[in-house]
Amino acid sequence: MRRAGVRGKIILNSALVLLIVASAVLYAGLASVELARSVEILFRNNRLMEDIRDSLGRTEASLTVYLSTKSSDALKEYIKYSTRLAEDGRRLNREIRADEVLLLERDLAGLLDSFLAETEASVAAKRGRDVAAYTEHFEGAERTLDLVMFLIDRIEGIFISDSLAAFSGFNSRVTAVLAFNAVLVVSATLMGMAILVNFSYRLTEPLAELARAAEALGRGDYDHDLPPPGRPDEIGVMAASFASMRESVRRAFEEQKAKAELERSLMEERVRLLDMDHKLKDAELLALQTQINPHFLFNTLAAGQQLALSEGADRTGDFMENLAAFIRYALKPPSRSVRVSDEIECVRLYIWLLRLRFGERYRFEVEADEGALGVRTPALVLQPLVENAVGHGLRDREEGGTVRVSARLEGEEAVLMVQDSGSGMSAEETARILGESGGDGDPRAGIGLRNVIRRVTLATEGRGRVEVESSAGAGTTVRIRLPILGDGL
Amino acid sequence: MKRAAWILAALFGAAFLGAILMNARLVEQSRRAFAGGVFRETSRIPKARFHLVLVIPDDDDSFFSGLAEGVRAGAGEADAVVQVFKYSASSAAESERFFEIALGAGVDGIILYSPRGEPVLRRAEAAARMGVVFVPVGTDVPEGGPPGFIGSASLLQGFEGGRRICAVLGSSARIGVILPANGTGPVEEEPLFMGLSASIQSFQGARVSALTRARPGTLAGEEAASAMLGADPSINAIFCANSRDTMGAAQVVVDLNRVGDILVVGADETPEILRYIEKGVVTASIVRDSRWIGREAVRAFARIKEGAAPAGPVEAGFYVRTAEGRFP
Repeated sequence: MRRAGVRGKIILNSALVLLIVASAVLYAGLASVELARSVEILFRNNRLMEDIRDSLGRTEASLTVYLSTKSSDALKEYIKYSTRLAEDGRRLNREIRADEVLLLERDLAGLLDSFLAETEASVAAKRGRDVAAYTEHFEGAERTLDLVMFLIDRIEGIFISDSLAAFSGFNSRVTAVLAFNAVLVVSATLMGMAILVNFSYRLTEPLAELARAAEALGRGDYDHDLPPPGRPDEIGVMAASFASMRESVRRAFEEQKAKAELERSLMEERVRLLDMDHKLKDAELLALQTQINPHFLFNTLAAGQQLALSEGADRTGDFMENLAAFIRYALKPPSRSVRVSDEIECVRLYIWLLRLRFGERYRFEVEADEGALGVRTPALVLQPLVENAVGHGLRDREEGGTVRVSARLEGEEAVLMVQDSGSGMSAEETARILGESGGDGDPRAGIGLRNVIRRVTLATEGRGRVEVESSAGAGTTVRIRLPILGDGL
Repeated sequence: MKRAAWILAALFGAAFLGAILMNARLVEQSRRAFAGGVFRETSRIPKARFHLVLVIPDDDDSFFSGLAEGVRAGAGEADAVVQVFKYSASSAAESERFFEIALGAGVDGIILYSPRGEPVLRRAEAAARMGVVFVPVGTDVPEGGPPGFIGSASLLQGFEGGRRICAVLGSSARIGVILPANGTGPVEEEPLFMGLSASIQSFQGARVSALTRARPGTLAGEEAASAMLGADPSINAIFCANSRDTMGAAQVVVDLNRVGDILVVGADETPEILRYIEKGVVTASIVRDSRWIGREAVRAFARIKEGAAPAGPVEAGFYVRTAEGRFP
């Protein structure tokens, strides 16, 4: 469908209004002209009487000249005018009807016939040189002429009277006609104005709605009503474009909002990581504080090993060597990533040292799947657990106990487990050690386990976890579940 | 606002259309008024066989209006239309002009009011020459006794008037007589006066104290009665020959507060005269039957038109209207 533009509508509307007003003015003018023409009717009958009067005068004059001079020109004139007079007479009523004017016309027609008969007789007598006869007929014509003139005056008087009566009726209507003309023009003008007002509202209302919608958009209100769609003009295009623009703004805003939300959550995560890092630092600091210059100790142990070898004390030398290897492993940054095989080796060294200390009181079992050995894990996560198992789980068991360390694959996870056959812990104790509730007890045990849990969580970005399974008298099992990420941990 | 604009547009549109319709209607009415006033729709006007002309004085005497009514009524029966020419009562020559017009126009018949002194015979001859039926009508038979005349017989009217007056006043009757304006000749020779004089002769002592002819005009009777009573206060009866003078005389009697003192005997009957009779101002009115005269004139025309010869003079007669009723 061809679009009806605003300009076209304005032109059409203006043309319509102009047409209405112009037609009103034109009609008023035509009505006035028609009325003016109507007045001509008033004098038509009088014109006929005037024609007869004129023909009569000319006939009588030419007859007089002819009778006086016998001029052929006068005779021609007489014939011409008497013929015209006869024709005028034939225009008059000759029927007998019950109307005063019609009867007067009939009288007039009869008198004209009499007049023409007398004049004809007079002319004939003149040609016959009968002086007495043409004189007598001429006098008869003159007498008839007087009567004709009298009748014409009377008829004209009636015509004038009738015309005045008709004009009086006309005149009484002229005021009304002019008043209606005025009403006509005024109402046409007012109608045009009403149409213009209507049209201007139709034109500007959608624009006002658009303006209100734009204001609302400025306030952040995306749901303000818009002009109804489908207008086939520029305003419709503007409304559609505005709606499209508003939708784009809405989408952009929502995207921005989603992005800000994501950034906020990332920031929170970053803050959380920073917090964990901070806590790790605290843990490291705590570890440093709890160790007495481990580098000095490592160097001293290395010197002691050399001394033991030089003095032939092989067992002391082995002790010094294993202790130095363990300390070397432990002195490296705890936040580093190592292979499970390194952790297993570290645990073996630690167990060798414990056996040297406790003899055969405790039994240690270490087993690892070949597939699990390559999995990456935070460093020093097994040794604290073995230390806790010996130092806390088996400490009060005179008959000794068993500590099992294993590493195996379960689906997409590597599971490192430290299990003891010690006295175990109640649920409250477990919660306390995990830091979930306050209370008395050995804080060091809790620190070691919580340190492991935080580092596992930090290193695996929350995907790894530490499970503690313990009950009083049934030993304790701690499982570290690590996602298999290859070398990327 | 849009709705209001639509309503206003509709209202003004209706006013616009209404104004156009009313305007067109008024213009059309004006044109019709012009056409109706100027052009005659001939086909709607009844056609007749004969063209009759009635020539009468332009007088407000009810005799003439009755005469015209009678002619019109008779014309309907004779399939004729009547053209009435009224001439000025003070200019008798105009009646001659209308007579000539009618003759020259070749009408079928002329009914002409012909008072005494008019050349009725000559006119009858002229009409006969032109083949036009001529019927003279009037109050008294003109001189020469033209054929076909139909009149009211004012001699008998005068006689009856005198008889009525003297029946009341007897020999003490002092009568003032007001003769009609359209009469000609010496007042003593008026048949009306002659009839009245004849009737009072039976009453010794009764006499006509004043005799005057009213001038033309509506107030002429009042003027004549007033002058008469002023000149002769002994007058105790007034006799009038037509309705106009009767009403004038009655009004004078009322104005002079002499109702009952002065007896008024008038002529003809109009609503006003009937009211005066009822109030006792007018004792009696001798009513000339001019309607009958007019009707009879048309019948005479029809008879002559059919070939009959004009009849001799006919007198219509009269009846008397009093407070007691109509006599005979």
